[in-house]
Amino acid sequence: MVAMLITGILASLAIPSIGAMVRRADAARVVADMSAIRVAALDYFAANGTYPASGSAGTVPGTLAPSLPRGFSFRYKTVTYRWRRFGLPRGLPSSPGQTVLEGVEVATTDRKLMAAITSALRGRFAFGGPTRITFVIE
Amino acid sequence: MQDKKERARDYVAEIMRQRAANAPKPGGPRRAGPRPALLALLAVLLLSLIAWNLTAGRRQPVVVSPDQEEASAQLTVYLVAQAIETYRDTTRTLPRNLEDLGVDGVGITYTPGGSTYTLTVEIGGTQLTYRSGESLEPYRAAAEVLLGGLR
Repeated sequence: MVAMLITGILASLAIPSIGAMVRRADAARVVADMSAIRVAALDYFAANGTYPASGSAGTVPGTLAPSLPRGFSFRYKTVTYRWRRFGLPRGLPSSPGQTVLEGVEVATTDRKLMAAITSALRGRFAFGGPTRITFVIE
Repeated sequence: MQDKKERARDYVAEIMRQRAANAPKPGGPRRAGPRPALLALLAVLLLSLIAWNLTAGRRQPVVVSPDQEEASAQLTVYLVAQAIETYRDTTRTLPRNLEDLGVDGVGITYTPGGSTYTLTVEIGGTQLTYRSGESLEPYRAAAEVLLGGLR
């Protein structure tokens, strides 16, 4: 009986830590995926002088596919990615010369995972809500 | 001599009897079990931990602060309005929907009406509405709030 209770107590202490570790690992994977998308976008820019147009959520844009690793997906567990490009004819207050804003939109209904992703990308220019955030690349 | 032998035999027999009497008997009294107080303490500790895990597991973290969520909505309105204006400058018509511009799925409702349009976004229960022709400067300035990152 005592052994069972002690085992239960240890499990109760370990389970939240394991959940947090899994989320941190998932967030690291998302950050790595975003890095791969950024490299692919820069590769496309180097070849074409412009960034690819916006894509659909969860779908690898055909323009980025050749520069992404084989089998790369715009979905990971509950997370979907979407390549975004916004035209900015009037620029931004801090950088009026910036006429285009590119980024990767990350969407997930798992708010704890989104919090872990935001924490891993702290300090990056980003905008959005609790379940969908666009992290600006350029 | 015979008397000495008998005494020695009796002495050894007495020692053997004492040893047999002191030896632990099979099926004798069992070792005392754990104290009920210890069991109760461990059970209370386990139940408290389970309750704490359940409540902590349901608690949703704050991903974006209310200020940043509002600034995000304003910046999104600015980005969408810019896309619509660029489309209108090029084609002299308003887009039918945001899918045509590739800026759909950003949580904004676009309502075209003749030569004007409105953009509506909901933030924390309140509606923010932008009507074409209004100044976009406050929306553009929202980007400053977000440059340092979220949270």
